[in-house]
Amino acid sequence: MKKSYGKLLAVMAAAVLAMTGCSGSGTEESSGSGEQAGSAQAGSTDAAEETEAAADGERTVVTIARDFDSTNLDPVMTANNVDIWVLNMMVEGLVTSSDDGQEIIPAVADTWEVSEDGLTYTFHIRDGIKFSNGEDVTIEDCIYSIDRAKTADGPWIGMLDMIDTMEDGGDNNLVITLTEPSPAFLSTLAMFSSSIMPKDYCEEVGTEGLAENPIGTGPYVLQEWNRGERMVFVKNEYYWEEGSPKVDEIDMVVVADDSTRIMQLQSGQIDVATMIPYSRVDELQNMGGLTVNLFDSTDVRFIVLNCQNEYLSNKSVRQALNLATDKEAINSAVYFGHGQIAQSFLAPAMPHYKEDLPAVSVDVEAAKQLLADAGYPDGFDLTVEVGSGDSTILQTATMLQEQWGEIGVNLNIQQIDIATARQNWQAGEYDVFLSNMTSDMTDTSEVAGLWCISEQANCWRSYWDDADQDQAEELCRLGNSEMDEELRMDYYGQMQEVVADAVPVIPLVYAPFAVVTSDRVTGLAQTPLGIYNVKNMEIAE
Amino acid sequence: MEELTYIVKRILQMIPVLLIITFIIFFGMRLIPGDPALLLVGNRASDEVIAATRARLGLDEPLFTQYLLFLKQCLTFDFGESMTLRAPVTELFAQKAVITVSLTLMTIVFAILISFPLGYAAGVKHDSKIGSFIDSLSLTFVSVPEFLVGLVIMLIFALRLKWFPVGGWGDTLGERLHALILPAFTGALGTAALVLRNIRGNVIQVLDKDYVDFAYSKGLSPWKIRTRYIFKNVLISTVTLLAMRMTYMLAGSIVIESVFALPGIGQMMLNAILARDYSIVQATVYLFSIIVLLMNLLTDIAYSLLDPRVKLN
Repeated sequence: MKKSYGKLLAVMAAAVLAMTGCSGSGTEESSGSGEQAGSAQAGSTDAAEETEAAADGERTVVTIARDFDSTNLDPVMTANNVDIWVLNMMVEGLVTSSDDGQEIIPAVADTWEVSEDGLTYTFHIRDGIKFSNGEDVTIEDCIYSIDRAKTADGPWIGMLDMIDTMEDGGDNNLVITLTEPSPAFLSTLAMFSSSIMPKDYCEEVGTEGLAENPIGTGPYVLQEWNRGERMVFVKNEYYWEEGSPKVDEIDMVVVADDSTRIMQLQSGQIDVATMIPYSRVDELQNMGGLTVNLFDSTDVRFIVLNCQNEYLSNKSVRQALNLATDKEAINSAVYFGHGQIAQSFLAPAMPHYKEDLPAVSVDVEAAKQLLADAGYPDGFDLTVEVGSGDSTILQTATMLQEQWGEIGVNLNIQQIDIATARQNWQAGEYDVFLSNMTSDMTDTSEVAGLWCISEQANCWRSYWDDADQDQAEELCRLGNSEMDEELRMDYYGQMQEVVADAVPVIPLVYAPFAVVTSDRVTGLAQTPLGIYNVKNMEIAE
Repeated sequence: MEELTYIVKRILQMIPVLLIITFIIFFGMRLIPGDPALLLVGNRASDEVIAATRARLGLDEPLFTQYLLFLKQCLTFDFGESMTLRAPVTELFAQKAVITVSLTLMTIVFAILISFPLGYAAGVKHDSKIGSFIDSLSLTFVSVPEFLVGLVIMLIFALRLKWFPVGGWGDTLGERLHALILPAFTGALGTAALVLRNIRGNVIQVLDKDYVDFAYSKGLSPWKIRTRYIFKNVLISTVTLLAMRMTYMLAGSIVIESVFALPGIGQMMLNAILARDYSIVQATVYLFSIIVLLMNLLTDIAYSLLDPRVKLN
């Protein structure tokens, strides 16, 4: 018997060997990318060794870990941050936004002029600029790409509706005329969805092919993609900016577990860990060899109140809940003090954030009074659906349960599958929903429209629809089309006041993007929109 | 010949079982709320875009038509494309299953290496200090959650001692085997603890049997008695337990895969369920069911090899 037991073990060991050895890991082996391509994940990357390699002028590789893999890289078809945040490594628009998200800066176009009536934009396409496949960027490619962005049946359809005509103005100029002046036009062109891609390639591979591998003028080219495991980006040899990008290869790996991601960073197996839980920030700040970056973001964490709900349709009730919500306590317990208390649904990183909105401080007595006046002196029951496994949301819900309990509102927490919770929220079949939002453009109009213009997303699914909402919508529309910056700020400011008073949403905190880098790497940026800017990243001396 | 007939019969019996499984998984996935099209395009997409996506994914077909298509896929083992990963599902399954199956096999090997000698020792020496030490150690590992064990093991052996990578999956055979050791060891501890306790209990029982006393009195060598008389009898229930644990590990690989950043079936399945990627979930459940059914068959065959009293009929 002993013998056959040994045999069994041997067979199993052989099976493990055979399986691990013969597995096709999805895409073809990288060609011509050197030995280091792709070996980083298994721990063979030694930081010291690579720094030496860099000094010798050899290939440099930086490994970035995140919690989820991308799914669809066709710029006009995706609305997921896991896709959006890496797209600008490969593709760029005529213009792009600066790292601080405050300015529109040149990209495919190096200069542009606007006619006095604000209707005609003339973009000069950078001389000699090429796509990463070596082909020249033509005016035809630009017109094709922007037209595709305007008309493709995806989540961003309608965003470029202000465009009337596009034509070749000669001398590498693209002339775009608008139907009406639009303050958001340049910001919309800077969005990932308006990226310039080669017409021939797009037509050849179609949306399915673009979803796998978009080609553009970005600093990197996607060379290899093992689903759920790793994306390998190599330098675009044709990149227009002199001396950029600096790192030869970027490996974007998926490490779902937060603790593992942090340990990999500590061990030197990876160089950058993104999506760091706030609970670990202080500890990592005190650790040598690492830098904790808390990048300003447009990420707002909030409570949406269903304004069609029996109780929540009453404005006083919503105001009472707002007064009973202790944002400070939530920030310190759930965000470990790394968030910033929110009053407006717009983040401070947005251009028209209203700084001087009156701060709502916790006032249990006033809240009780409001509830009593509304006819609910004994409170009522509400349910919040929490996606199971989301500890941040669950902790927030638990704190709200206690805080709202003080004014007699009994909050039931139901943990259900996140997709179901989202679907119920979308369909308006909920009482209270906890979520967050990041902006996809540097202009205010997108987020403002989602929260104030009913037809866009039914006021971001709060189904808010009353006189206040009419007023907010009107102010929002005025702001969206006003070319005078001062007036625009005024409209958006009033709009934020109306929303803060009517409370279809209780903004909780503005959450920074927590990214930890090893001291081996410098120059990584994440814009307030969440987009990783890796082109200035380099290996520290 | 009799054995062959039995095996063919068993394989034929799998057909109705698989049919029931396809039915449950197909309609089960569609019963839970969550619209795949909505999840794919995001909450801010317009109703028209969502409707167009549904049509593109074939989700607007009558349910029964979709089910028939799934049955056809089950017969041809071509499950079409994943809606979220946009790659052939069969190919994705093959890629990811390699990781999960190798992990499971290595885990079983480790579990056997740990549990057999310790379980036997704990059984034979059950009234000594060593016996009770092994016993309480095994109790600890039965009850500590895997993710915790995994993190602690990784902290010690990967981060501090640097003997192993901190999770991940390599490119070469050597790297992959190296990367599998810690996760397999982590998974093995729980299973080994269970198996060990089972072996210990059985050894104690068998030690009291008359035939063991008889063997001693006949003057057989202690080695022969241990292997032929004691261990062989203990092995029967142990094989059942190991087979059950193997099924459990294949299905429950998600925790270890997540902690050790192994891009296996568990991770893919979790994401597919969250995104309502029907084709991946259906195909994975179906293919794993086949693996589990085949493993059960193998277990039964193993019985007949281990125990002459068990006949394959």
